[in-house]
Amino acid sequence: MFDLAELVAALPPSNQPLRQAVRRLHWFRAAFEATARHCGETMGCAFAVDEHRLAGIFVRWLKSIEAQKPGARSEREEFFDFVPSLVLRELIADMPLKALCPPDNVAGNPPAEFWPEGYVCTMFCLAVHAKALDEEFHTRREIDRMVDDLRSWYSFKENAAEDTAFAAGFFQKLLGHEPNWTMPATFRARNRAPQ
Amino acid sequence: MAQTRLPFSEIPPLRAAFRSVKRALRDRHGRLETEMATALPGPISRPALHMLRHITTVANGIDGLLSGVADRVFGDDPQRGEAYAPHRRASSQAEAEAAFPLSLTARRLGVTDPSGLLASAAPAFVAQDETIDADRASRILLGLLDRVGAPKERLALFSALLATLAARRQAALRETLAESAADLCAALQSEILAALATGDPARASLLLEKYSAHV
Repeated sequence: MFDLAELVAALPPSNQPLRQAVRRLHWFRAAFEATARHCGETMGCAFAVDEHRLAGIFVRWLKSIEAQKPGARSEREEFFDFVPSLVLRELIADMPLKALCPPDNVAGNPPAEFWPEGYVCTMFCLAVHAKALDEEFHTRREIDRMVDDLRSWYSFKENAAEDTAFAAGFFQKLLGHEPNWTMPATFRARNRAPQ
Repeated sequence: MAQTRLPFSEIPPLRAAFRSVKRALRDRHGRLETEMATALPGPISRPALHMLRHITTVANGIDGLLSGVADRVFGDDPQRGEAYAPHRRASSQAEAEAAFPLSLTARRLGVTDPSGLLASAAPAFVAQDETIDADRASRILLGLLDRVGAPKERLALFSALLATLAARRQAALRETLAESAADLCAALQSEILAALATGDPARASLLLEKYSAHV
């Protein structure tokens, strides 16, 4: 996988905490475009971003946050881990990216070669999540090794084509959580970590 | 006083010089915003952000002034092609300035001929300033709806006010906020148009307040 620190560094700056900045369309769009540009340079290909589609994705994501936000403060950190999986679900459901040519620098990265657009969207969610988690909780998550496993990506793409909620479950797996595969995009139905 | 035009041969290089001054202004503003955000720690960056907001206002003013001066001195720009500046036809400088965000959102939303919309809305927009809040924006909006019936035009009005409200919360160029507000409103059009159709100022105000945080 790409260097997460480099992906985080490629995000645009903001005077606001990232949890606020990312809920502003102009920063969200700038961050998504910056990630696509950074990944494109690394992969040796350029991506076109559909801005209007991205705005629709952003709005649907805001509405899912609004609908699912927990009342209890004790669930805040868990919700932080969960929220990017909702973005990924929306991105995969209405893909706003299009690779303008096949990537020519992905020899060591089979998932990026297999599905460049899905890979970039996932990297965007990982980068924003990593930065927000660091700002809010001064902590970081280890990314599961399945991120480099082509079979996982094959399964991700195939299953998400049938049910986009699968993308949310895939993202939670990347963060080391075991999703509730019956309702992977519903926070209240998540598998809770043992106390 | 009679206006004198420069000889045509001198105009293109002078126009190019004006364009490069405007471009430098925009570039430096963007760089300053980035540097303030990255170089200054949180508590210090707050007054810096306040200062940047004033710089943004000045930069927007200088940008508009340069465009105005260029138009007055050089006349129509043959290189401008299909550049879009219908707000310049407003009856006063204040109205032109006030209608600028609306002209941007109307373009972004694909309003074919925004001149009627701008003529109706510009006088109401002049009354806006930095103290505008969602309630006042809602009153301006609803006061214009009997003259503005087309859905795209209503969305353009809503998004111009949304961009103005968003500018209170963050320092960003007006163009950026106007484009972002227009795209946000396009994605939310069914919710916004339904709220406007009720004519309920409280409902419009709630939407303006809620979504101005997301521009």
